[in-house]
Amino acid sequence: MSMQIQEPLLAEGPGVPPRRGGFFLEVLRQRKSAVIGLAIIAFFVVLSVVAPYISPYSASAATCAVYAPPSPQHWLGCDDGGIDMLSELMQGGRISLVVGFAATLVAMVIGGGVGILSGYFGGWMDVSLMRVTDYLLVIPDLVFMLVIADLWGASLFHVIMVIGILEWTSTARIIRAQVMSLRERVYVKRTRALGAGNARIMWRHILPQVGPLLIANTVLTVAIAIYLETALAFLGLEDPTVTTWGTILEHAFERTAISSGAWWAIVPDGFVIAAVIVGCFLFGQAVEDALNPRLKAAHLSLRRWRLRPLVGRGPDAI
Amino acid sequence: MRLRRNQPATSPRAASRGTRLAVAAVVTAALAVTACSGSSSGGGSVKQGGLFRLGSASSIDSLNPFVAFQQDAYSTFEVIYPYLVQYNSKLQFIPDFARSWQESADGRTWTFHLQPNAKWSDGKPLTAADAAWTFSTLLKFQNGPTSNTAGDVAHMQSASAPNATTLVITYKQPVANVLSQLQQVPILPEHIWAKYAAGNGKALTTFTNPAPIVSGGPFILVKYTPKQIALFKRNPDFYGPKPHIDGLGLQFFQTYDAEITALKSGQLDGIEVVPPTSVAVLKNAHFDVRESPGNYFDDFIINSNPQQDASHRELMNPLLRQAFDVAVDRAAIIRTSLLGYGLAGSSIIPPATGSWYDPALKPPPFDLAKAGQLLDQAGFKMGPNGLRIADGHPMSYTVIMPADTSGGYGDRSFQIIQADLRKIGVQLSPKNLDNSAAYDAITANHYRDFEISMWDWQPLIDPDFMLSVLTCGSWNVWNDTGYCSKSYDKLYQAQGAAVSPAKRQQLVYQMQQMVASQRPYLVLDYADLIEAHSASWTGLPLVGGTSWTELSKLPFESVHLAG
Amino acid sequence: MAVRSADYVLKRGFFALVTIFVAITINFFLFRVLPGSAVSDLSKVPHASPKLRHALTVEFGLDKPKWEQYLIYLKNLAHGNMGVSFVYQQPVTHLLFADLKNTIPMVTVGTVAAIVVGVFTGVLSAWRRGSPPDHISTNLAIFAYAFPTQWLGLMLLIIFAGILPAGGMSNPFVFGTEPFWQHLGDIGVHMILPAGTLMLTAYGSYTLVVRSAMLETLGEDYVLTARAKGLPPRRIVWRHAVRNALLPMVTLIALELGFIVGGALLIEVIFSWPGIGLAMYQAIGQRDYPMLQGGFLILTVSVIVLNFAADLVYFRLDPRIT
Repeated sequence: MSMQIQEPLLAEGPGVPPRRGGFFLEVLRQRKSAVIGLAIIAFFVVLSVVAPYISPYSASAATCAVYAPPSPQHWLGCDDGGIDMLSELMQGGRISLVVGFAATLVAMVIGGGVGILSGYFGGWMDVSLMRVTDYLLVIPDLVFMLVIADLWGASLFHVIMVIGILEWTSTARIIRAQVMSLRERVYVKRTRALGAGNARIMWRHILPQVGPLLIANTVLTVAIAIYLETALAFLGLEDPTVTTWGTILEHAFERTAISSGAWWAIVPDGFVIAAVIVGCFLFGQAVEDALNPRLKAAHLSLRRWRLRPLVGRGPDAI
Repeated sequence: MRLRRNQPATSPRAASRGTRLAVAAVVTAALAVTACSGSSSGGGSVKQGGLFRLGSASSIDSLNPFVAFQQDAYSTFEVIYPYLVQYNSKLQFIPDFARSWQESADGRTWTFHLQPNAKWSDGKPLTAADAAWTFSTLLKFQNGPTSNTAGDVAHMQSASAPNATTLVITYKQPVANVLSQLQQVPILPEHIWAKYAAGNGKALTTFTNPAPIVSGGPFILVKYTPKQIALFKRNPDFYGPKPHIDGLGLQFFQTYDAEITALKSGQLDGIEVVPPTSVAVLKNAHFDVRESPGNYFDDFIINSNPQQDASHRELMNPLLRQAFDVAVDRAAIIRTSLLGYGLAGSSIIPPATGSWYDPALKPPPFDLAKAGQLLDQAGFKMGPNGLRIADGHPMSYTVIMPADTSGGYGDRSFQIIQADLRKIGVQLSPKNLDNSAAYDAITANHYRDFEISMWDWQPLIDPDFMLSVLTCGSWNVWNDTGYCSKSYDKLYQAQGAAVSPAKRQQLVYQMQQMVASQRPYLVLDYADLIEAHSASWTGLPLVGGTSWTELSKLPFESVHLAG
Repeated sequence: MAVRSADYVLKRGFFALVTIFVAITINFFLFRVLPGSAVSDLSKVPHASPKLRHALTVEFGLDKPKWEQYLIYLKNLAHGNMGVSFVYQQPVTHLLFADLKNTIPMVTVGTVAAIVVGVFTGVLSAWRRGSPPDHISTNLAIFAYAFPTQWLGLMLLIIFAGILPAGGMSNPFVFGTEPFWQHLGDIGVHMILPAGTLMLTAYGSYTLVVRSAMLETLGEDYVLTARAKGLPPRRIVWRHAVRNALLPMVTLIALELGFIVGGALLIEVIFSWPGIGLAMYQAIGQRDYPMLQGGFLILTVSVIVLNFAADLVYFRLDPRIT
């Protein structure tokens, strides 16, 4: 998987807003990593949707002996409740992915909104919003989430909210940078000269332009959200009666899987989580690369972006 | 799972001849025990020496007896401090620091004859004065700094030491379970603690009592690092039978998994609590694994407040309660949650308490068809979407699940009950809360709001505490059911006023039957206590199911390396 | 130039202080919105009179108006008083700093190891770009990064159970004090798995960033010029490219501090390492709010301070920053 430096795929002709749909196809055509990533994500999404129909056993009722090892009847063995591991993984993925996407949705809405507003209006709005972003960026996220989840109570909804509320900050900064550079583009100035209002401009001209970047960021945030969900579940801050990839690990840890020799209650779970995260990373990375290779060094931190003026100067300093 | 430690003493009880006879018998038994457990001079063929390394998945929260709440702290106090009496394996009272005792005719004065020439580990004399000071201090500050131990000295009037080996305790009224109460009070060295009891006694709760602790028991606590290790050395000045081992170590682990790995790899010699999932693994590795009935039960609580909110007042219907009771598949719960290590539950006084358990009470057989019939009989017909209708609304209830329950195997038990009840048209939905939020939710609005909950109890050997939980007076203290019945309270007073042990037992049986028929609790199971240790050690008796216990010093006095 | 550098330091320093203050305030608000009050647990003693319960409420200050509580809270913080643990009845500051003393060595060793391994593999990958070692190294890095930290810890436990200590910080069954070096060695052996887990979970991002930064530099003009001058390739790599990869590395380390803290927490739970992460985890289950509040504050302030330190290092490396 090479990281070639390529020209931005975003057309920059004067006054012409580029076409959107073609962009993603271009990325897929040019970068193998994007295809692999997308394929992985698609595989797990489809799997989650059909899981209830194709999973061999129930994911909540006992169908075998406690910690039964892998066998022809139970390919991945069983957990401490006698529940088939393979079925648990398939159906647990549904909720993990739902939590991941939902939390990301919350983060995207907030982050995208803040980024667009901040970048477009500039001035005091920009300064104050970015200050808030800065403060939130520095606070260690898992610790903060731990405290909030403990105070609010362990439920899926709280997990989604807690992740969403803390993960929007990096998106906001990236979007803001992009918006700030777009703001000065000729066609935007022309549109404004023609009398279009701010809202219209933001909605019809800015948003579509940051769309690809937002999507790339969304995918990367999904990876983070899934990662954080497993961490919160492991610490006992998620509803234990729900089966997610995170609670599978938590149960194994709490219920003597290791000393019982039941590696199958632990190993496969990690691999599926890693697979989804890698898939998101590959796809999101490829899209971001294509948009602006100069973003590279900063966003390689999968878990946090705090963009210093690392590259570029002036209005599109990020 | 917290040990419910404090409980009030019983109400007035007349004197009993039986007690004095019992005392004599007990003293004899105690002497016999002392003779058998090997003498202090390293008798005969018993190997001496060694360090016994014990693992715990719990922790010591504090070494201050006025602050501590965790089991491991109490067990620590038991081996380092003198207590007046202790239990033996048969759960009878035997001497500890008190060699014998008498009760006055009116039942209000107890006289204890203590070990002579006893010493603290720093050489200072250990006398009745220390005991008197300890009890007097507990009394003096029972509304403040020593309120944690207030239950142990309820109705006590005074404690005095007419001479070095005699302790006299007087009560305001005759109290039935004196020994059970006194068995829980560690006798503290006055010369160490007196200065903290000055003024308002606030310093009593802030003194950390750090290691090395001036001890009077079979062991001295020489080193303690919180969350890591507690190390004990044999006390050469102990007044009782000296331990065979040189020392004892208690290592704390975050999970059972880590503990069991340590045991298997030889880092530990024993574990106090073994989860059912690990029994086969340890037995295969040739460890000595012992299961015994636990003094513990898991329960299903149905709101028993007659004033509860009308939207779920059908829960008061006895037919509904009976239906729920026979709809609980206890065998499946024991199989799935406890892996077979447990008994089906019936009475709120577990069989592990010995003769206090009413053997006439049996767990109801699992019969979903009958449960459905009972609900039909009660007039709760099946509705359109598969849920029965009661008083105009579907039978759908929220089950409060405290962290104690959902953190362990409780959610598996819940799933079994939930699935079965759904088949007969009753829906249960869990609501997970931490323990204090759960208790708040149960007691909210004078016990009117909550519907159902699932929790557990670890009562004392003496049934008084467990019975008191259902009294009206225990509302907002320990009562988690909303149950309040004048006739029950009368029986409770009566068992405290019983003339003879036989009469008291009869009353306790009567109360159990009342609870079993009115069903504020559905008792699901009595979980076994499972203990494991390396086969290179022997002579480790279980008292109340474990060897590391707050009930007795015997286990670690008698353990020794196998020949 | 001197004025500008002072300017930068002051600006970043001021920002750090303000962020600390914001964290303190957030901390206060979070914990005063208590749902299940811890008081009901503490005062659940038999015969507990309303008077006793009130006394406990007063003692923990839960009856005053919020703004007054806030001022008291600030004043106490200024004196280093973070309250008293509900469970241990001891000052939170004392308990948590003792725990922090255990956390710092383990986290430092793990992070340094991650940096070393990351730089090494990143350089290797960049130098051998496109070859099998590059692919293997890069893909390993991505996967190590993607596996949940707790899973990596559990895997190490599975593999090394019985060979290395499964938990704790040192061999506990030692009466008296060990000789210093033996004790140090004991702690070292116990630190292998926890620090190793931290290394595995953190190194991946460093590899990727070093590799990409080096590739960027390797294509730059002055490197080509140096090559044209005839200097041997290795010296080019080590003197120019690596140094230029340091800037994004520092950035990354600073960005990932929150992640390191979170990872350390999970690791301490798995290996029973008696640090501040384990203390916070236990405080959750016991509803020990003062401990939670104190732990959150200490960890947040640590990250803020370390970020400021990274700002200074960054500035030192790249004085072009305004």
